Amino acid sequence: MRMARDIFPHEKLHDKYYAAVVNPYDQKAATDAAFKKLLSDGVNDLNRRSMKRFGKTYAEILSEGDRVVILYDIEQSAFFQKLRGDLLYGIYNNKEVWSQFGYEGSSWEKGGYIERGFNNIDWL
Amino acid sequence: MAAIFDLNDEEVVVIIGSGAGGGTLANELAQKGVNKIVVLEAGKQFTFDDIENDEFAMFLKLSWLDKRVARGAWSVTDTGPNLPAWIVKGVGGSTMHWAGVSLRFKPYEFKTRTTYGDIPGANVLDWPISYEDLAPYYDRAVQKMGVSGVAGGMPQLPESNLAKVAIAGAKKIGYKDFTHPMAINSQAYDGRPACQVIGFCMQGCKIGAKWSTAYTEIPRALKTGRVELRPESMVLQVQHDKSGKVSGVLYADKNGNKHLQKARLVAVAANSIESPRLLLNSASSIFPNGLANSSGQVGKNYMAHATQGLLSVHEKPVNMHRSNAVAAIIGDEAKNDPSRGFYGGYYFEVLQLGLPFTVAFLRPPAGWGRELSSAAEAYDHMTGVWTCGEQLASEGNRVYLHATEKDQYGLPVPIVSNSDHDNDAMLRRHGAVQWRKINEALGAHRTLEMPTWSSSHNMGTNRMSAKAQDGVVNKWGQAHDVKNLFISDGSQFTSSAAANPTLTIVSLAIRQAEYIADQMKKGEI
Repeated sequence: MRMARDIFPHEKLHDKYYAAVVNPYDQKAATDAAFKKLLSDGVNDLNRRSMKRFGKTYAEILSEGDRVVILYDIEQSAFFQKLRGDLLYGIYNNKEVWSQFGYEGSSWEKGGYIERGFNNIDWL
Repeated sequence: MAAIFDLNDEEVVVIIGSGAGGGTLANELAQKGVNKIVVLEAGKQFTFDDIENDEFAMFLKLSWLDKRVARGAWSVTDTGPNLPAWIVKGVGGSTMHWAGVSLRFKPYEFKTRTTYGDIPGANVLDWPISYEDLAPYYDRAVQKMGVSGVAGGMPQLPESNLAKVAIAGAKKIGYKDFTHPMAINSQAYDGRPACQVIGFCMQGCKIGAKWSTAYTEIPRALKTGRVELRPESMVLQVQHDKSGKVSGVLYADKNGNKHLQKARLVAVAANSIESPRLLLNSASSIFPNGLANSSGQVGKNYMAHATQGLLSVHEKPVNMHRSNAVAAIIGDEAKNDPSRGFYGGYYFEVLQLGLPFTVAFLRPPAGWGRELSSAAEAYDHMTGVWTCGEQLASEGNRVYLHATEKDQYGLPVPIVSNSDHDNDAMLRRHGAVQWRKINEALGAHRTLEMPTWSSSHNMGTNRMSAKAQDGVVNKWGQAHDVKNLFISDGSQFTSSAAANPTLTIVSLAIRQAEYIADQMKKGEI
């Protein structure tokens, strides 16, 4: 969870949006041995690197900057890329969060923007 | 109404593909009275009910996702290792997905070898036709498609917020050309409504304000009673008789059952990866290196445009999503001016993306952490652009067949290999610097660069040439080696130009239809 928030940090987003991506992993790991190994190896590697560099597990490292240093080391790994890819889709393609980024999503049912502010800019 | 033709009917004209090239050719031939036309389309028929305003959902629904392999030095080996091209599998082909940009090639872009000279490492060649040859067909394409923002067409689309910001910045650094030719209705035209600025052009226009063959050319062709459309029909091989003339097409239907459609003439319009792939897969004892490939040029000279996606963050909101996909075009750099350090030119195609694609298209090092999340939080303050410039033809950039790997039809998987020529890299770099200036002129402090993604503009792999040894087809798109075989898509392009390919594909198809109808009447083919 800590790692999920570090990959796409948004203070304004509730934990539940990250949890929706990460929580199903336990269930998947129970039936998918390869996935379980990817996860456990990935977490072990993360903590091993954290211990070596900062003397504590990843989640115990207080500074985001220090945690990110560890993540840079593993960003090419299959473990990191899996989590990043799932979060990318799970966070930014989640219609519930779009309004918090100013994105309005589907518009055809409202007649598009032709009468709803497509050219209302006032700062030029 | 819609006709049905027999598999053994040797008078059938087979068109492979129903997009800008194939769909247009089918309708043009049918309107001229050519009978017995069968259009084989690999994808499904979509309706307006299938169209959603959802980037990922429509990407998965419309895209050609059969396995392909990207190779070469372009970043697509990372961003799309098995998806070198972002094109459509469906009736209408990539005219479902295109943004509607309807720029003409410039006269010099038909004469690049003469204009640029011999460029080491490239394989640049003049087209066997000139701008003047194609100009009347451009005029007819504009009428057919309904193009706004050009003389002889409809009024320009109204400027969105995104367009206004980009144009204001561009004016500050001295740019003047904001012509915005789009095959999107600015007013009701040809039975289709005016654009409502829905903002999802590339996911398929929900109301049909953007031209697509799926709901214009194809239904009109079928209405003549001279055309049969067979969707979900994947062509496997073009066959020929002992004399070397094509005689039929082997295809698999949606259940995988194979059929042989006899043919008098075959026009291949399957986009620039599948078209050369099909010719290579049609090798025989007479054509050991692939059908119509005595020159060895089938699959070579692949061009994808030299492009760069960029996002700039402004101090105040832009709300770029409230705009048609390509909000504006800045044309001042679309010229040949070697003093900039490269040949050929490029356009700024001011582009909006939704939040999901905006973040998905950013990749490491910018693809996670505060760098990405802070950009995402500035989404509604962003302007976007896709610079689209000429990529030089090069023999090393090519489509070829995988030595061992086969697809679901048992055919070798296509490999698309592409690398920048130094010229391509310089052109792309210039665009990135200029876009930054445009936005900084209005106070933007931050510009993010995207890597290159799967290409929607695919050209050149069966190119036109005056001499048979330099290309695959002649000035009519007719194979040098096989007179009843035609190429009717962007693979016949000799140069990529800076312009988006669709308008030129349509214009060439209108012109080719005249030639084919005339030659058939004279009994030449």
